[in-house]
Amino acid sequence: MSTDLPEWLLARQEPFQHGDGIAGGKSIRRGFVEKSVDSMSLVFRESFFAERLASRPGLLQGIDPRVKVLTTILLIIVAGLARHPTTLLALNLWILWVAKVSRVPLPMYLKRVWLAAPLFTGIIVFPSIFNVVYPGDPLLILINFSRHFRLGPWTVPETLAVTYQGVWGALVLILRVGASVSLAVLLALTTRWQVLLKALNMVFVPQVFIVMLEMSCRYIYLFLQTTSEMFVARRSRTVSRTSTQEQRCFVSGSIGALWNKAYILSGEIHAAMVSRGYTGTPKTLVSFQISRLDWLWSLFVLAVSLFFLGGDRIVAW
Amino acid sequence: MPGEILFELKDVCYHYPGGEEALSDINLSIRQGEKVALIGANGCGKSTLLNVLDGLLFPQKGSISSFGLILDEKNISKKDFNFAFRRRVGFVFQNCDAQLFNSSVWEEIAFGLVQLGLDTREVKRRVEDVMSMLGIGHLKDRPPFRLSGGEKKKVAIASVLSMNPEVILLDEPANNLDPRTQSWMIKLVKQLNHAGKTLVTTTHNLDIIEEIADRVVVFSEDHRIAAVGKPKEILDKRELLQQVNLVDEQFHRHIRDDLHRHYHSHN
Repeated sequence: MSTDLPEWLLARQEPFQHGDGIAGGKSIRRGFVEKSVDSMSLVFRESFFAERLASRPGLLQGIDPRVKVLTTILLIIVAGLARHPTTLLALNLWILWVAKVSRVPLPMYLKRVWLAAPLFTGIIVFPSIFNVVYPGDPLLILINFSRHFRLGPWTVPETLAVTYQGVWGALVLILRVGASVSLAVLLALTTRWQVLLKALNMVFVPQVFIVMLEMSCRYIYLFLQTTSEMFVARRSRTVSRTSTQEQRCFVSGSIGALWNKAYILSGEIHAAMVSRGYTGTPKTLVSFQISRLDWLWSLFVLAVSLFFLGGDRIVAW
Repeated sequence: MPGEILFELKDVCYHYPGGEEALSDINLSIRQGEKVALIGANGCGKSTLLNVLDGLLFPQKGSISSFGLILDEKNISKKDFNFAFRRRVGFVFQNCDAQLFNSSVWEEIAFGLVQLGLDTREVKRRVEDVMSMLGIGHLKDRPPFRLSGGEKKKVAIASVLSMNPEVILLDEPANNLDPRTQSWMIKLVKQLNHAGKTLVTTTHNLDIIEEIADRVVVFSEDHRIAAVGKPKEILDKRELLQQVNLVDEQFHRHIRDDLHRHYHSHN
């Protein structure tokens, strides 16, 4: 093996001047690769945070995941059956209290639930608050046409107004979606993923499907790490802005490389499973234990559900 | 003292589906209680041999018997044989990411025990014992991707030890480990051997073979066994080591019996 270095490798670079490329230098625009690296590190940060949160000593963290899944389903049904905004508002406040005693940071929790849920539900129900879509008693008159007229197959009423019934219905729907999303987010935030997946067995998800989900979850992070390393390595060797076409080529090449790695690894994983006695049918250990706290929580949720449903009947009446 | 023959390989040849040769005319016996090191350059067939010994790959030519029975595809597919064999032979893979496929350390260590059908109480007892023995109890709920290289290796070993195998196959166990974890590994190999376990370890690190083996099998680059002997005898055969690409002309040995001995190079 020759160790003679070629001449060009012996040539030294020009000395780096103090302030080189800083004063007046153009900053390189962030391309697809840089943005992807940032997004991947964000996924890791989020996952670290989620696990820390799920391990905090709080009310929901101490409840058996199976009980948590069942009580969450029950509360989502209660949210679905409630018909009065006051009931739903009270239910949402109660969920917030549960989040607080489970030591979930409220600003983050509220942002996660109430930024997305009302926005998307709001877009869906927005047309229904107007009398042109859903007739009702006017709450706010926007335009007075002085007479009704026909517009193709539609009959436009004398006034364009926001209706009382439309606003009521929209409010109920938004609060209902908000409560359901809050409960689902709370369940996900206070339970570690691997435990949550196991608890899905309670809602009749087949065992083999859960095992596949668990393994996918485990290897997604490994491949994300590998991809992140590939992207960082690429960035460290990029000295100027690359064209979109070059970036596309790099991404498609990375997908191919990752596919090959995944294929080789899947063979190794199978060998490691067989080596430890796997014969084609996954056997898992179910080690959940129902404690007194789980019973108390179940009874509490049942009482709360009856209270809200009963209260809803009274206020709705 | 080494006891009965656990593995016997006769004229074993193996080549990968693409036709690439990995093992050629391998004749080898491994006895109970032995510490055997398989050494050789990269790609000489050491890891393939471990896969053959673990009944994961089957030779196209030659025969292999384990515990006095023929180890082939037909026999390993039989439930009783598979159960008895997997219980007795454990394999610590080189790539921890392949070995650690469960979502938490606890489940990883319990996996083999659950597959073998042990009852829940026994599974829990063994997992807790192994974790406390290896000092990894604090990692029990952690997912494997969050572990350092040394921690992954410890969990991989724990996942095999929990099954209490008679034979432990270790593929490059000291690779990419920091010096402290490497010393821990060597100490563990010795302890396990004292406890009566048979250990087959692959390595190309000549510094550790005197400690992890009492018999060394040297592989040549043409996938054959070039020599078998005691560690000291093999390490003294500088020409042989050079021939099989384990040392180069620059390598020499420093021996200080009061401290330690090692190979190194002055470039």
